[in-house]
Formats: sequence, structure tokens, C-alpha cells
Amino acid sequence: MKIVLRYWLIIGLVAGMLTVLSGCVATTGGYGGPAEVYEVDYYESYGYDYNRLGPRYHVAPPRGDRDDHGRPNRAENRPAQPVYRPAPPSRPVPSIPTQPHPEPRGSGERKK
Amino acid sequence: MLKRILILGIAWAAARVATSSELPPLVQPATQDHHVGKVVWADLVTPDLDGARRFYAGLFGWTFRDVRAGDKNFVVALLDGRPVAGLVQRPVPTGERRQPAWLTFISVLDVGEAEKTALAHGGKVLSPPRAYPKRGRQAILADPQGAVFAVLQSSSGDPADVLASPGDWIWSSLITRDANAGAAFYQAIFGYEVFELASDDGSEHHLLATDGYARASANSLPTNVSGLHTHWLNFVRVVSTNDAVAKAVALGGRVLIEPHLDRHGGMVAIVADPSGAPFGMLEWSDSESKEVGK
Repeated sequence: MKIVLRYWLIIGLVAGMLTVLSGCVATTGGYGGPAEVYEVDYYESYGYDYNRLGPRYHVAPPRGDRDDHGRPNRAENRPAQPVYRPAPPSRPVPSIPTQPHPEPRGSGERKK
Repeated sequence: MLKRILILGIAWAAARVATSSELPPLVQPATQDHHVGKVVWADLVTPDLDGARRFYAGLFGWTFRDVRAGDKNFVVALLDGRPVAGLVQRPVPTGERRQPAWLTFISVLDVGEAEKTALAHGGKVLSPPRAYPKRGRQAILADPQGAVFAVLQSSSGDPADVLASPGDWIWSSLITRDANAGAAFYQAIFGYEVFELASDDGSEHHLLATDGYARASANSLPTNVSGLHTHWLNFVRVVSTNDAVAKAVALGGRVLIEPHLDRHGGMVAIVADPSGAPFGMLEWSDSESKEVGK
């Protein structure tokens, strides 16, 4: 009788330990911890009509102070009283970082 | 018998721990270098995760890793083993005209401060600050004109300021009704230097910079454009925009703006993935560009 009791006591302890251990792992999704769901679920308002922007609507970062045609990248007419603090006129227009990545990171779109 | 139960139980628990994983840190090994104002991450919210995986894998060679065993709704996209984006599957809200989109994450040192500053300047909090293991703290905000973005306080540091590899994010633009107001709002949060750029179409284009590097642009919508809401648009670097657009179409994407020359002398295009989420593709040669000294 004593042996049977001890047997079930050990099984109960092991089961409890495993339950505690596995409880450290969330199973309901997300990465915010147990039972949490990643809170990124935003959908944008519907509608885009990019074509009306036209090919002269530029979005890319400049390369230095002049564009591909040698024209200044910085606007000559600045707002009289901008609501932001403009960079001083003496500051050259910056570009994106161009140092190479220390390790190769793929070749972009795959070759056909 | 007891020994067998023990072995089976331990194996089961070990298997569960081994197959689970968490969202990886932005930088491994951690550097603790922060680049405030830099776009450091993007999450796609889509109703079709499997379709998105096929599309982006075929287009950019991304591979994917489940964030947590058993969760079929979120994966991390990798480029040569490095995390570059998250893909989240969520149902489109019923009864609302909404579209899938990429959510732009911008680096901050303190999410709580960013939230306060955004609120003080007319922004809204869509998802309050929240901490995630290894990743850091983040919050989702909207600017006064409605553009949604996220701020991220990375616990491992931000990705280094190097030229994005083909297949990685290289640029972000805020497309907005009022670029001046937009520049002021984001300058308040991120401390951007604002440079007014010349534009061929008469609309206002501002460059937002920190640490001597261009981080993003704020572009006013032309007055004749009514069917476009204020939003952030992210660009992936490609070797050939024409080839990438053709591939995107073959994979089920749609062209929103055909490839054309932009101010940097390279080709740019805007496409939508099969579920309709827009993003840009931008060529950039490896040659040096001028940078403002730090």
C-alpha cells in the first residue's frame, strides 16, 4: 500500500513539474509572453491612386547636393515661416548610409 | 514504468521548449547603438500569410521563421538569415473598407517619451507601449493627419548605418496632405533635421535626417490627388526595378506606379502585393553618395 502511494506521489510530482515547465511556453500566439497576442493588427484606410502622382513626383533620397541633371537638390524657395525648424542653409543635403554591409546579404530579386 | 513516464514527460517538455521561439532581437549580437529616427523594422498585416510568404520569397528571396510553435499567424522574414520584417495574419475587419499595409517602425530611445510628445503634438495612440522579450518596447501611433507608424525602443540596439542590401528596406516616405506639418510633427518626436528639397511637380518634399543621414522623406500630395490617404510607404532596394516589377506581377502583384527615374538617378516603382499592400522598389548603385559630416 505504501509503495503504491509513493508511486502515485512521484507521478503527481513529475506531472506538476512538467506542467509548470511547459507553462513557460506560450501557446496562444504572439511573442509578448504567455497567452499574449502580438498587438499589430492595423489595416490602413482603403484606397490608393498612386498613378495620379505622376512620374515627376519624386520620393527617393537624393545623392548629395545636386540631382541627376546637375540641379540643386535643395529647394531655393523655403517657406517664409516654416512650422518646423529647417536645417541651416549651409548644411549640405545628406543621403542614405552607403558603407557596405560587413556580410553579404543576398542578391535582391531572384534572377530569372 | 515510472522511469518510462519520466523519460516521455521530459522529452515532451523539451520538445515544446525547443520548437518555441520568440521574436528575434533587431541586432545580434547586441550593440546598444541606437539611431533615433531611423526606420528599423516593418510589419505586414495581411489576411493571407501563406500568399504573402510565397510572394516575398519569390520576389526578394526572403525566408521565414515561425515566431512561436503553434502560432500560424506570425512569421519573421529573413534575408540571408537576418530578420528584416514581420508578417502578421489578421482578418480584415468586417463591414469596413480597409486594406493590408506595411507598418513602419522608427527607432526611439524612450517609447513613453515618444508617446507623450506625439500626443502633445496632436497625434494619437493606437496601441500603447508594450514590451516584448528580446525585441524591446513598441507602440503604434498615428500622426495628426492620420498616417500610422510605430516607435520601437530596441533592447539590442538598432541595425548599423550601412547601405541596405538588395532585398532589404532602403527608404521610407511619408505621403501626406501637408508635408510642413508632417515634418514638424516628426521632428518633435525624432529630432529630425529638415531639408526642403526641390520638386518638379510643385508639391513640397522634405528630407528628414538624423546623425548626418537621410532617414525618410515627407512628401505633400499634389492638390489634384484625392484618392490617396496619408500614409507611410517603404521601399526595398532592388538591382533592377524593371525586372523586379515584372517578377512582382508574375507572382500576383499589381503595378501602382510604373518604373520611372527619380531624383537620385535610379528607377523607382510602387507595387501592391497580392493582398493589396503597397510598397516601393528602388534601385541604388553602390557608388558613394555625399553625406553630412557628423
